[in-house]
Amino acid sequence: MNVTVRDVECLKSLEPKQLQVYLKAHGWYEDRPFLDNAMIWLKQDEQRGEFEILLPLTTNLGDYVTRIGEAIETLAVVESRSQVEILSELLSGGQTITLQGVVMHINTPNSDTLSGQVTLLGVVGDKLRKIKTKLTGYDYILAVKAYQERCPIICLGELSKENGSFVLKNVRDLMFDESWDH
Amino acid sequence: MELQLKSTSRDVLDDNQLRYPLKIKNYNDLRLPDFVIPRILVVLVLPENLTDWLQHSEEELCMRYCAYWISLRGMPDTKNTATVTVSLPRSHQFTVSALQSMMQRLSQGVLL
Repeated sequence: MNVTVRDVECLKSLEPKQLQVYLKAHGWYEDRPFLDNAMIWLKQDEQRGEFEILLPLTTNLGDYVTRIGEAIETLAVVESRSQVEILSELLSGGQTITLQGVVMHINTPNSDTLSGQVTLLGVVGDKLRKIKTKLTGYDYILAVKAYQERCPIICLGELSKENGSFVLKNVRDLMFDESWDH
Repeated sequence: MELQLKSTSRDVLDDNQLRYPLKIKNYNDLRLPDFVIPRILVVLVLPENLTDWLQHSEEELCMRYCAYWISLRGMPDTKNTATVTVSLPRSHQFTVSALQSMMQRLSQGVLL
């Protein structure tokens, strides 16, 4: 069943910033501004051609809710998912992604527990990005080993943007990425 | 671009303009400046008699009369409670070339 999201309050509570992070994380890019209040985002799909989203710049626009509804409608088509799924992911703030990349930097480990902050270099959308994450226990050891041996890793996590930087939270299934040299 | 479409068969034309009583809700939906997509009002003027609206033949499909457009963006608030009479210049005919020129201007970032 296709459910169309028309919950005004729900759509209103979504900030343009949340959608921007989502779009970047899913391979969309900013194309050009549209008049004064919106930005045109594009995504190329090999089979289906080009998709377009008109993203408002601020929430106080008369047609904000309509435009956000349309954006979610387009995302549902592009990702072959329901609008409800996409909306709940947007509202939860972090998008679950599979990140493939290398460990770029290991901060000084925390002294009390086996944990620390790690900077990864991975592809977000269509660009290589620095992504900060906190790892603990076995995942942390694996990251140190990956760093020493210059071996790529792969993991699942929720991507969000904090103070202009990408942050990966709730990291799981972290492992060496064996697929990179095949 | 988003369009509010209306039609009327009343005698609304004078020498220079068409005067159309627009519902307050429509007026407010069209006059506020902050929209992502610009909005215009399009009013189609029809003959009084239903049978005169369309004429089919092998030569032509003729629709009477024509439509006019206006942007109400930035118009003042009103104390009216039911309708506001808006004026659409007769020079603003809603033709294919008028529509093309509007789309062109918008794509260049110029508001209507």
